[in-house]
Amino acid sequence: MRVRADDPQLKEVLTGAGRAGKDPRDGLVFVARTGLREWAETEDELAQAFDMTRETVAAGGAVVYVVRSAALLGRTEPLDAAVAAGLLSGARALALERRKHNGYSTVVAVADDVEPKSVADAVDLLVATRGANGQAFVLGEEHLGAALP
Amino acid sequence: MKIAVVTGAARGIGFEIARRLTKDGYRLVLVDVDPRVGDSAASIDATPVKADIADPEGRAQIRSAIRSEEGQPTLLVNNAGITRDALIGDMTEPNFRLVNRINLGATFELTSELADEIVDGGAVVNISSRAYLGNVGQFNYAISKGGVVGLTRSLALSHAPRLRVNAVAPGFIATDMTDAVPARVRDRIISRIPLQRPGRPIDIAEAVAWLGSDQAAYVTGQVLPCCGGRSHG
Repeated sequence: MRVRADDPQLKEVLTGAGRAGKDPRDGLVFVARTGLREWAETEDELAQAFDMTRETVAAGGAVVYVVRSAALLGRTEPLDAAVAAGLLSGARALALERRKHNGYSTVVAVADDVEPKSVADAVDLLVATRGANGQAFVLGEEHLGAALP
Repeated sequence: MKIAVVTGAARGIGFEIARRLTKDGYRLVLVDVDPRVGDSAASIDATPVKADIADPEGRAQIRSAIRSEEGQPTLLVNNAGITRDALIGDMTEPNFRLVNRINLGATFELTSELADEIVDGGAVVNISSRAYLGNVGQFNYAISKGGVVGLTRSLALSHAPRLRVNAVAPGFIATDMTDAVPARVRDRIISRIPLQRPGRPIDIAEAVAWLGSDQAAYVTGQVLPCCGGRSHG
């Protein structure tokens, strides 16, 4: 799968996840940037997600967004939370839109103490089983007792 | 006198929210890029601001209008929003950016700039959409409205206990915009709504009024779907 991730360790392990190859048809793993403080950089981040998603969908590939659990729960700075929840809604919209075309899009929400290898294993599992299509798959325990968006 | 600021208030849901809030004794500041905001404001004795909320100058106009009311706002309602629907293969990056800049970016920036001016115990109500749960042809809009949900949750935590921040997620609401939907599509949409009718702007306005009021004093960081049960149906 094509991988967009800033963290080199995460990028390395995710590159081996899912379908082999880096062509859009092999799918996309997009790891959301964090530490966003200004709207302009947030818009760029969402636009990059859009561009890579559109390209992947046109080629028939699966789309996986990876976000921080804390951001999805709203426990981070506002724009990080907005991107995480926004990408979840994007995955939902895409799953509905591509339902008749066997499309697949999901979100993996990752707690800060989860090992990168576990994220790659989750992506493998999800893409293979099409589990959590259009919904969030949560790794870690930060979400326990809290409502997801 | 309590002051409420409502964006996207020239017509439709935004104007209905403003009209409803006058019944709760608010003095209203109506904001819209649509020049009809002047007539709409005049009809409910409110202050109009013709401004683009995505533009820093537009937001400065809003702050200036609030100062002219000689008070601090008690309630901010972020209602302004646009759509540029298309299947993702036909969606353009400019339209993706535009929808997110207006619906999400401007909501963030206006709230950030006004939050300190809102009175202690005041509230922010963001208008999201049921589309945050997904909708065909609305990848851009869904992301923007999901983003509003994320923003709402984060701002609720960071501004507690001084302010409450909540969101309303309208479903299919009968407005000028949805009147343009072909009858066949409209009937199909309504058939999937458990309450078997489109929502009315006043349905959303009542939810906003409640979330903005002291009756919802223990509610923050929540999203209230107003969609006739469609989110479960």
